[in-house]
Formats: sequence, C-alpha cells, structure tokens
Amino acid sequence: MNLRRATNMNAKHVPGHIHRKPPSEVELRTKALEALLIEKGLLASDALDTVVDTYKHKIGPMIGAKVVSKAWVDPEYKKRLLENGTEAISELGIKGLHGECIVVLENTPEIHHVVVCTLCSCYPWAVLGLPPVWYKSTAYRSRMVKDPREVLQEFGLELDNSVEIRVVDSTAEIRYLILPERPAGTENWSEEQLAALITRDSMIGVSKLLA
Amino acid sequence: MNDFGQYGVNKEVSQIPMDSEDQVFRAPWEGRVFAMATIMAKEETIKWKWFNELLIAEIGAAECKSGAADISEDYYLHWLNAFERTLVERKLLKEDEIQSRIQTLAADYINQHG
Repeated sequence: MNLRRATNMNAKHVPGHIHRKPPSEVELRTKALEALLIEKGLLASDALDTVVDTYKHKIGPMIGAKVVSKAWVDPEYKKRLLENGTEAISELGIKGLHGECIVVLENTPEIHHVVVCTLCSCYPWAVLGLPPVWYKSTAYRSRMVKDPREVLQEFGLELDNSVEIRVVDSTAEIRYLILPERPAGTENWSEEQLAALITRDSMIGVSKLLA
Repeated sequence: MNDFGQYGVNKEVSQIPMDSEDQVFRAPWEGRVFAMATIMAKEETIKWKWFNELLIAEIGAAECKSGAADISEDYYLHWLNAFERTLVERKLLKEDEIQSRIQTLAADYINQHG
C-alpha cells in the first residue's frame, strides 16, 4: 500500500534541511478529516485551535475547586448546587458545558461517592478538564464497580467498614462531580484558601481532603 | 495468551496506571481529533450520542480482544476511529474521499521531503 511506504520512508539527508519524522498513519488520517471538513464548510480551523488551547491551558480542576469552595462557604449556593448542579455551575459564569447535565453529590462521614465511567470515559470536562490516564484505564473502569473498597485502598483511601460506598457511573448525558467533605480546622479559611486545598481526585471521589 | 484474571481482563491490565504522566494530549493530532468531535457536536453538525455510541463500541471491542492492552494507551486512536465512523455513517464524508486524501497527503510529504 502506498500509504505504508510513504509513512515508513526515511527522509533523505539534505544539508541545512530540518529533519522531521514522516507523519504517522494517525496523523495523516487526522489531517485528512480536518482538511475535508474545513473544505466542506463543516468546521472552522480557528475554532479547532481555540478548543485545543482551552483544554490545554484554561480548563482544569481549579474550576471545580471554585465551585466546591463556594458551596462550603455559602449554604444557599450549596443547596442550589445539590439540587441542580448544571444551573448552579452556570451561575458562576463557567462555560464549556456541552449540553450535558452535571449532578453534584455530597460526600459525608457516612456516605462516600466515587465516580467512574464504565463504558468509555465520560467526565465533567467543564469543571475538571480532561480526565487523568487512570480514569480512562480498563483497570479502573472494570474494577471500581466490582470492588470499590479495594480500589480506593490502592489510591490510599481507607474507609471504615461503616461507611457506605456508592459508585456512580457517568454517561454522555449525566456527568458527576463530587462535593468532598470540608476538612476540620478550616473554619476561618477564605474561599480562595479553601479552593487551593481542593484536589481533582477528591472531586472524583478517590481521595479525601486534609487541611 | 489468554491470561484472564478475575476482572475479565488480563492480569497486567488489572493494574491501575496511577503514576502515568498526565498530559492533556500526548501528540498534537490527539488534540485535533478531540477538538473536531467536540466542536461538531456543539454546533450540532453531529450528535454527541452518535459519536459516543461508536466510541463505546470501539473501546468495548478493543477490550474484548484476548491479551488486550489497557485502552488508555490508545485512547485517542479509539476516538479517531469512532469519529471517522460517525462522519461516514452519517454521510458527512465518504470513505473513498478520506482514503484518497490520506494518499494525497502522504504523497505531498514525499514530494516535499524527498
């Protein structure tokens, strides 16, 4: 096949020429789709650059941390957040929702929620950015539902046997964000100080927070 | 080798890759594929559901293979496959025009780089 020959070919040495690896098959396929979609007016190339830049540099767990810290200091906001996560998150001017619902679940000393997407990798991008490698892994997705206590231990989280663990399965339509327990000793902290304490893993439910 | 553990996946795969380096995209093409699918869904040129169902099928098929590696290794390859299938199945692009453009791009590279 021509393509195979083309992609495996080594570039000849030309003095002063900058060596670049030949494009791989996936790079060529991606470029082909992009070029055709742009030519047909189905996609704008500047929009692509913006989205890549946004997910690389602007969206991440710090947005979720803002939501959680606000809920910790503002009981009315917390109530709205637990009732309708999508609306309460939009209230803070957070963009990037793709029409999916975000449901916020509160972790308490009695009930511990943890999120997984068993079928693919659905994740609340707007508030946490793109998922870590382990969240997408076959191991995490297949084992969390079957044995959450053991998997949480592997993450370093030992929960007392009296704590009920609820594993929630994210889908394309419903994405979950966990509202972790506010650590003791943070009573007088500002919203900004609290936000700095909140980790991605605590908002997925695989860890708890300590002050 | 069919070395399936109690989780239905082989033993190596039952290890959660917690220490993997978290790069948003490991290569530029991954970001382009991600952006193409999300933009077209947002603009409703495709339905997210169409793409998502094919992504689930791609991942499911990859994980059913005996001795399959963890899908997080090839995560965006599954995205690319599902996205391309979405475009073809929904008649936004034709399979032969995609193949022909790939050949053209490969030939262009050879012409430019010798």
